Amino acid sequence: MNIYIKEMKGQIKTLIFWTIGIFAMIFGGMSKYGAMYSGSGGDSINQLMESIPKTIRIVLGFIDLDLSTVEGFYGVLFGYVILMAAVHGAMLGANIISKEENLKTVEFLMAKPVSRADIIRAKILAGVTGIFIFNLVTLGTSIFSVNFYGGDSSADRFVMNVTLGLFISQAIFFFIGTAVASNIKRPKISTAATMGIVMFMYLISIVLELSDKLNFLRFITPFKYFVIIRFIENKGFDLSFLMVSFLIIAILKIVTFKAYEKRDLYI
Amino acid sequence: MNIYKNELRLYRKSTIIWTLSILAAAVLFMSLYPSFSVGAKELLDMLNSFPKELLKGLSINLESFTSFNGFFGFVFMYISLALGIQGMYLGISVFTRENTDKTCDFLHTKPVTRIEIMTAKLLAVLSLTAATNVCYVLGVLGIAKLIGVGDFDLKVFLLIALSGFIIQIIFAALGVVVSAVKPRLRGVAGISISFITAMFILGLLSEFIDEKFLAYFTPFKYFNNFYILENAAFEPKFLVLSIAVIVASVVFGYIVFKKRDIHAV
Repeated sequence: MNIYIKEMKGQIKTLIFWTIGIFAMIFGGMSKYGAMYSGSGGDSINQLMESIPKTIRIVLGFIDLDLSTVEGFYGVLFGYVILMAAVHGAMLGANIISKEENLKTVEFLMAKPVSRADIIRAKILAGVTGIFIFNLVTLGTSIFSVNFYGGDSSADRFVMNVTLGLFISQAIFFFIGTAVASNIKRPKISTAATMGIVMFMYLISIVLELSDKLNFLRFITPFKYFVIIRFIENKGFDLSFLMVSFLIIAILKIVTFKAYEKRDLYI
Repeated sequence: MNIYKNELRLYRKSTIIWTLSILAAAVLFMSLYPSFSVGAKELLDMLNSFPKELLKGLSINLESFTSFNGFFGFVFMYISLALGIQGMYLGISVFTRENTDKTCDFLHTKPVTRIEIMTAKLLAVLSLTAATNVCYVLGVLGIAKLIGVGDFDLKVFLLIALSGFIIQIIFAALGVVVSAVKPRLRGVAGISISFITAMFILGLLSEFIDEKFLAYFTPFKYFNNFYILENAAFEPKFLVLSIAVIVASVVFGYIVFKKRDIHAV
């Protein structure tokens, strides 16, 4: 319990920074929705856009979503939110495990009458709580902004589904961080290595947008597990990806525990 | 000179890894170029059948944006993200490492002035980033030859690539400022990645919500690919701004570094 409280205190400052960033981005971004797009319709432009090949559209920076609806507009912003969430989650995961060794506090911690498994359990619990708060703030901000600028609360369900997807994706990134940090030999480079993986996954998700032929690659990048279009079309969650997510989280969690119990601490 | 060499030696491995990763990402994207160019040709044919007035409404020159350089400009957006992280990481790490590794007092007993140390380190950062840029640009040119992209305007290509180098230097210079303000900073990778990603997202956001003033806050938007493609030049005001940011940061770094208290072990 002490470890949990300590970890919560340790991350509160970063968490505040991130949530302010999220709030500024979503609220600031949505403020443009009212001014620019609402009610402008523009069917003929949309038709012209659809006749352009997908790759070209993306390279030229046209957006696939219908920006005249509040869901479509929010969907674009969500593309940025998920990148921020991934960076936050992965860094939190890698750091929460590695920092004891980096800050030379690990000997002190190990001398306490708690097992390694207990330490990791408390740390993971603290991390997941942090992610949960991150998502709660995102949800609150999103619902507030979407209602404020969209005019009514018809999109609430959509925003909730999307945020749930965000939470699961961010949890995957968090556990990637913990798994890397407990396996890597030099704790100093655990953040860099984890971020390398996240950036790689992000690039893959961009490549996937460019080409439909590579769809099987979707399984390697959590950025693509929950696609915004499905939520807009009210199709709900993609069950296979939901299962894959839980499977990956379970595996990474086991890997983290197994590796940390046997870890040679770097002092 | 020894300091310069030592810095190069220390960062050799990570620079090689960065260069190879950037090159790998570039190859991955470039492999999509053939399907892009087929689509581009169809699009141009189709657009030619539209009335001219409608096309004017789009207000962009599609010829050049659907060319190889246009595609590279898109890919470049993501390459510059990686370049930015590398630049900032180097900028901070080179100047905080002596403090966190407790080698500061050793270094300062040597018969070199602080200005010389700082200059050697800055030169090392410059060389490492330049090496990364040269290698990946040559790599991309090689791949372009290999997949047969046909003729393209080399000057525009090099200008886009050069803008990446300048962005990298800006972030390295900002890294110097960070290390001057927080000399005993830990978790350099985390800080630089968060900062750069925030800048990157701010850049995307400024374009999406069409707020021109946001562009001044993020170096990723100092060089607009569309502008380079059309004019084969940089936007003068942003070029001046970039140089100003770099010079101001480095001068600030010198001033602080020259007077800083050294933490002895």
